[in-house]
Amino acid sequence: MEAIKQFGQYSLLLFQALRSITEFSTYRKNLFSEFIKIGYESIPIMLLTGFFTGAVLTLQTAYQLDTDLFPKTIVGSIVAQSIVIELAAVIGALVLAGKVGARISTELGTMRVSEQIDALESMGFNSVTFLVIPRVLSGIFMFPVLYVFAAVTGVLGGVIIGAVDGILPSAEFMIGARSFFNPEAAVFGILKSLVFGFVITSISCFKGYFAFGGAEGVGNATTQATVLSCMYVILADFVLAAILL
Amino acid sequence: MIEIKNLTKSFGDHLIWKDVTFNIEDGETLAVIGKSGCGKSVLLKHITALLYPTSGKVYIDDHDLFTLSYSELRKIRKRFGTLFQGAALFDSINTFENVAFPLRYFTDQSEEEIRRNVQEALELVNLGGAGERQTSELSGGMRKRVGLARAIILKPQYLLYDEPTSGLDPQTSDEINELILNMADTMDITSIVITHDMHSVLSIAEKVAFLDDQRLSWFGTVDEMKESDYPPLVDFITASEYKIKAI
Amino acid sequence: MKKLSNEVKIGLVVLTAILIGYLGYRIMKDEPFFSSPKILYTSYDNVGKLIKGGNVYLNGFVVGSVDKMTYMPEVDSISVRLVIKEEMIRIPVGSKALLVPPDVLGNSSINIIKSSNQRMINWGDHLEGTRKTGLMDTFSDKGTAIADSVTTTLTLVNKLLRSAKDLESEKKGEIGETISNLKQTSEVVKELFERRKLEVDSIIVDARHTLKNMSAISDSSKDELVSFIDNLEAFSQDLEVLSEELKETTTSLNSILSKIDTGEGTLGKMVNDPSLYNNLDSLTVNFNELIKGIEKDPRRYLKHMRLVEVF
Repeated sequence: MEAIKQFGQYSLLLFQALRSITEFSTYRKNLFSEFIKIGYESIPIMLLTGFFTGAVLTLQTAYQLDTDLFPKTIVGSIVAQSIVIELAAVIGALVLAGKVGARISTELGTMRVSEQIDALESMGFNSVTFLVIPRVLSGIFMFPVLYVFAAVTGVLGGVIIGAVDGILPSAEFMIGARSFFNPEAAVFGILKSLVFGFVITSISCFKGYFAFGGAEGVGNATTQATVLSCMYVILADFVLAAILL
Repeated sequence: MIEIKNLTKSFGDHLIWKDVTFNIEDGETLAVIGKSGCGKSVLLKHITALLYPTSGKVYIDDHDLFTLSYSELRKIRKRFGTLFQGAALFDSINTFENVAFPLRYFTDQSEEEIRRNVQEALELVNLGGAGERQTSELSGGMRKRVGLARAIILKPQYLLYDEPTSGLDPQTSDEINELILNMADTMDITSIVITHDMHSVLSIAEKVAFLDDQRLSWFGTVDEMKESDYPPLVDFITASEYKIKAI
Repeated sequence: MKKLSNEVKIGLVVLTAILIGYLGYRIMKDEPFFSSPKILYTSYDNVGKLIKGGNVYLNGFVVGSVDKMTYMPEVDSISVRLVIKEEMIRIPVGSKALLVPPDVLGNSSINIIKSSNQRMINWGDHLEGTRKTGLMDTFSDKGTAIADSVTTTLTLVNKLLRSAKDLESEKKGEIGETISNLKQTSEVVKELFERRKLEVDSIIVDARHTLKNMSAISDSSKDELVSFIDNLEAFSQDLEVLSEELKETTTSLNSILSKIDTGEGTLGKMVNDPSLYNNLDSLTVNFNELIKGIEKDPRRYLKHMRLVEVF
């Protein structure tokens, strides 16, 4: 019952946001600052995540396929394909659920319990337009951008660690990577990251916006936001794979 | 004019108060008093429809507040200025921007006009030089004064104060009280002040609403209150007076 | 450094993402960055495990890669799209796309064989596709052929030798003919052995060469290849010994024949000649062993080839 009520509240919040999405002048400034916070400031962590995901995946794949039954190039195929279609988007999203999701829910939660949201409303602002729209839009726009960074550095990480660790030369890696690469995988990855961006930011906004009960309440909201974000990212990943693959 | 009619509010099974009915005439200053947790702030939030009642109505200048569409409601809200308990300053921007905030979004004023108006408002609350400071650097009293400057920047018709003097030292409290009086006089504002500080009530209010026992227990002018022998009110006032004397 | 405004930062981020995404895509597709790719088509009825991304060579130099393969049901063959990334490549009309089957590392590739035509093809044209047998195919095909021909030859020789041993029961007039036959046969066999030996030797050379080039191959595979080469060498030595012995036999037979021609000696003397008998006997034993070995396990000398093919 409680879950259904929450879902209703969540849908209503998004509906409210959607209804006032045309009031661009209200949230323009916030939108840009969220672009910076969600996009620009997340680049380093995404580069790092991408690189090490690719590197670890290469080591693991090489370790598990250490027989003469397969050509070495298969490592490149597996790593590149996994990174592009799945890992850059999903692992990136999980990292960002911690970074972006937690920030959003804490920010909105604090604004709620310190009556800043009430202050906005009482001034005649639409607080949803002002707070939720720019964050969700930034998620939708910036996650695909971040995905590109993670995917490229992921493959790069695989190539580099493969060459440095003597697993396979970069040329062989790329032959393997190319042999199974299809552009649909990249499109699929971008689509996934877009959905994840929406899922994480909207859930975090929802949890933060309806936080109550002082500092502890904000803490609870943030925990729930992060956990739910991760859960729904994985769920969305599954659903998208089932629908689109 | 604000008319409150048969207002009842409960959170789930928990009744806050019921059948609250009173009017606030234009230009008046009303103090809402009562013990902590009796629902004074909740009542205040109904006046700008931040909360919706379980039943009852609120009329703002003959507009039935709870039946308005959201966009109409936002228009009504612009007639109000609210000073929240913790001042509710936006902590992502500095003092100046906090005060300038409503101007930037609701008026077409040029940067220079905004600067002049904000400076004027800050001077009115005796904070002329604090514009560039971050809100986190401000003391409690200063925060309230910035909040007040922000509340009056659009020259509202109604000003709502949620515990304006709570948590402040007596001297700062007096300053705030003086400001509230000043606002009411110079700007012809109708004010509703939530407080449990009797000192404050006596210095600023014209009328008093006493919330007790989950209802509007007593309503009248300050002079009537002084003469009243209604036991719960007398108890509340004397408890406060002992406190004042003890200090 | 001047502090960047938010708008500039966002612009930079998005542009960078688009740029590296685009470059990454071009790299993955193995297309040149800033010019449109040059496309060629070819087709094969069997692409022999060719994969997308396989290299395209011209004069032994990588000039592009396999971009796409589509099965065309109406002609029951596979259309292969090649992307040529090298800028300066010119391919004459009538050139062929030679499909090279998997090397020892399992990578198939396409070799463009230039024709001497003066006219150059246009991008987007179709090249005629041809196939070539791979190194491993050569190994096993040749090996099988040699084994088969050796088997049949040896069976024949054995039969002859057996009849030679039964000389006593033969009629006198037939002996000269038989010996003459035997001489001819042994010369043919010798020649055959020598030719086979050359072939086997060339396979050994090939294999050694391959071994040298396969720095990437694992130690266990290396061992297998080495033992395969050792086997071939033993085989080659066997053949050499046999051909040497056959040479001697031929010489003996020659002397017998000349004796018969000159009327010197008798049949009994000839039959009792221990050197001829010994020669024939050791030859028979050797042949028998070889034949037994090959008949029992025809692929004895080839089994390592199968192992090598796997990786």
